[in-house]
Amino acid sequence: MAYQNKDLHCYERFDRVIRGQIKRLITPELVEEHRRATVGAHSDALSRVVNYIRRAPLPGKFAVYAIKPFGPYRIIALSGVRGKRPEFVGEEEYATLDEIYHAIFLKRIENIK
Amino acid sequence: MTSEKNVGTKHIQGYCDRITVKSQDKIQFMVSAQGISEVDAQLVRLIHGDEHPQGPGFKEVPMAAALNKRYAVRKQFTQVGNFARVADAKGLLAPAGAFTLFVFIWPTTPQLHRQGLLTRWDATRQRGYGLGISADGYLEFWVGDGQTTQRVKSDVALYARCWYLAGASFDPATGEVILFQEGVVNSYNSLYSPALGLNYAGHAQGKITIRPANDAATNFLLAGSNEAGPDGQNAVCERYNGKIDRCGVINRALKRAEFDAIRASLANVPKQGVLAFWDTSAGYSEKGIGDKIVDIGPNALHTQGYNRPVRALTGYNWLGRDEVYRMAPEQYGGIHFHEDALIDSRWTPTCEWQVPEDLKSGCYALKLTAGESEEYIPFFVRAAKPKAKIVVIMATASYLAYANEQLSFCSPIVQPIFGRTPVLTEKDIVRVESQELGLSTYDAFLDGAGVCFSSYKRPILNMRPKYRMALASVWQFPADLSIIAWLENQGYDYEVLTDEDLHRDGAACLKPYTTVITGSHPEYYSERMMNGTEEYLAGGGRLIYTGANGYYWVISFSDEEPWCMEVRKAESGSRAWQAMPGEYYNQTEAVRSGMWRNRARAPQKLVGVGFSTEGFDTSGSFTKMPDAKDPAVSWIFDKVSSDTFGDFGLALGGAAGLEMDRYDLLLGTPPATRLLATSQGLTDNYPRVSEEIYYNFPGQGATQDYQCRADIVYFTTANNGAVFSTGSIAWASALPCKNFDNPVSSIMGNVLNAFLRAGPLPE
Repeated sequence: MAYQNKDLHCYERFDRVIRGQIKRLITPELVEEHRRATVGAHSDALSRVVNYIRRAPLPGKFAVYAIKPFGPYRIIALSGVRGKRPEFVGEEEYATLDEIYHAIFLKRIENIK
Repeated sequence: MTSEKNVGTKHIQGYCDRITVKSQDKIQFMVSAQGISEVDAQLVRLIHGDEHPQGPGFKEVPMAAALNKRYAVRKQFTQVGNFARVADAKGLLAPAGAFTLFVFIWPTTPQLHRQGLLTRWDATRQRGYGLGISADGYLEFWVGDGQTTQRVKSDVALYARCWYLAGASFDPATGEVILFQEGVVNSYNSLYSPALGLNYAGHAQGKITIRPANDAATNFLLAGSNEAGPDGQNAVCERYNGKIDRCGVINRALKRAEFDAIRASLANVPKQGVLAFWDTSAGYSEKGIGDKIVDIGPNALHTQGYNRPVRALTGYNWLGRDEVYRMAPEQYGGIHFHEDALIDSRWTPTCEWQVPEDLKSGCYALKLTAGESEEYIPFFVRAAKPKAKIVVIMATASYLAYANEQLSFCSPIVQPIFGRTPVLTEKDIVRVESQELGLSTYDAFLDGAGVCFSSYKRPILNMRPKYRMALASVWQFPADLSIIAWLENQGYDYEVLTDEDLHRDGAACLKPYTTVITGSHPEYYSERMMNGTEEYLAGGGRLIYTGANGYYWVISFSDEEPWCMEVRKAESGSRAWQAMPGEYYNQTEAVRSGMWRNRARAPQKLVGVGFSTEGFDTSGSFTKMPDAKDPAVSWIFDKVSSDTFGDFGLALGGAAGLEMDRYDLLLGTPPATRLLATSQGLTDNYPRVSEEIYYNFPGQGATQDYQCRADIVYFTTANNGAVFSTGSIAWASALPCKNFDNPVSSIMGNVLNAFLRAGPLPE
């Protein structure tokens, strides 16, 4: 049955509002806080930002590709489709997990802006 | 994405037919390879599985074995998916004259692709007949003679997750086809309320002017169609997603009124002319139900589900009053078929080996290499005659639970749970892309239903030494090897058992040992495993529970197929999916699944602590609690002078982390339990587990809720038995740090040495 799922209307409306709020939280200080500690305890503002971006739907969601077990790493985007390979995002290689986590964070907040 | 190292196009995969063996047992290895024609096999003893640079690294010991040879390999075919083949040597289901097909269905993906319901159809050569669902979601009946295929299709699309009686009668003499489609919806059995008055009925009449070409080699199938496989074998395509309940074949063309009568009552299935009548509710016993689907018709054309279609499910006539098939088996005729299920890859053996008499008990693997490609097929050797005082139970049931999990690829909530972006490798991508390795109990089938079976008769690429889970740590088997490495490094004589041994033999397999050590995350336990552990402790056994979130899910096995574990995730617990109402009982062993806590056996009763919180951003450390200073038990902290310890570890940097367990008197922690240490330094990525939240409110993370924590506890049991629990999965991965010379290692050693001494322990 080709009925529309109107839950999506609510999601889109909610996301529009939240994105606006999240966007206002992104400051140079917040970006620097993430660079210094990509995982673990964060300020309330940074927690809200990472909680938002980590909850994003799967299609196009960034993940880390380990070329070797402990680096270097590359950014990939998940397909969100079962069995379909992720795509590489850019050519850059990152030496450490902290570096690639932060690079992904920067791409994600850029997408919010 | 193209693979730069070409790992995706060139790989080796394998599995063995037994996960636990002892001296003189034979074990077979099945290997499939892509882009590789020969592999070198080497038996290895596995010592350490975590390559983390702050630890001792990966350690294996090559072993001499007649098995060590070069083997020719090829890509082996895997038939994925559920269906049931009917052996019909006499061609009874290929009538020359008129016939009728009927089946109760609950389709879950009616618009996904063409799906066979009841077919004797060769989709490759377009010969035979079938009743199925068209690619756009309509019931249809078709006939093919190899030249043309003619179809009669309903004009009302099927709703997903609603029960129908579907049928078709065909008289080749007149060409007349009657297609029958009527809802069988009550207030409980379907997605929608009957109050809506939805139109489920889709009757069509039509003409088919050809006769089915019924080839002897074509199987009659439930839930799929035949096709020629890549090696010419009988393969099955057009696999159906959804439930099938009672169904059959009759040797004349029923009229509309006769279909209506069957819909009203199964008693109206004609008494004469039945070629087959599969009673999907037949066969329940106190042991549950197996794969056999019983034909109660005169021809007894019984069939077997392939790759274990899920049974013990509500049927078209479920009234919502009885919640278990033991109360009303006639309402539990539902069998759920999934196009992507896999229990057994059924590959041809590549080699076989007899375990030599003098091989020491331990963790082993057949290591396969070809150029840069590598595969390990792990298995465990138990002692035929136990000699050591220590035994480690390798948590094979829990390894199965996570086997080939696809969480990072398929679950959008994984990144918030992890508190980090997942780290994936080419091997992860290959296994998820292939769709031929089956799923874990953390995944959903294509139609959204949770996966309740997991088996080791398939390659399990995350149950491998060196494998790192996407949360940037080892997990389960490779993590448990850190306990093995610690025992080896400290010079203890130990043997290993598996969950399969504990389930089969109970306390008898533990009894020879003074001390039992668990893995880091023994989460999945059957009743026999629980009873065996409890009986061992009651008899004076000593247990070191070196992990957390253990003794959590109720699982079961069929005695005939111990390689396949079953769990139904019921209405509570930290669960990747939830079983449907009325479907909380396992089909194997007929036990109510879900959490042990909800079966009145919270883990606290057995090991003093139970699941409290989980988080995967960073791990914390421990701080001593008042009991640690009590002279009666302060020996546990010999050589650990600092009040805090464990601020190191290969699992996210601390000994208190990943998943954690808590002391709780109200859940059965023994009253005299010593609470020796508790976790500290956890973030809000560690929230309280959902089973403890009756009302949700803000502030349930570890920085605001003191019960989000790991506790280290100690208590004694009857007859000089004792339990020491570490309360944290990350504990095991802290053991190898600083060349095994660290406070976590000291505490383990203090406890183990005390446990190995005969006589009473301090209380």
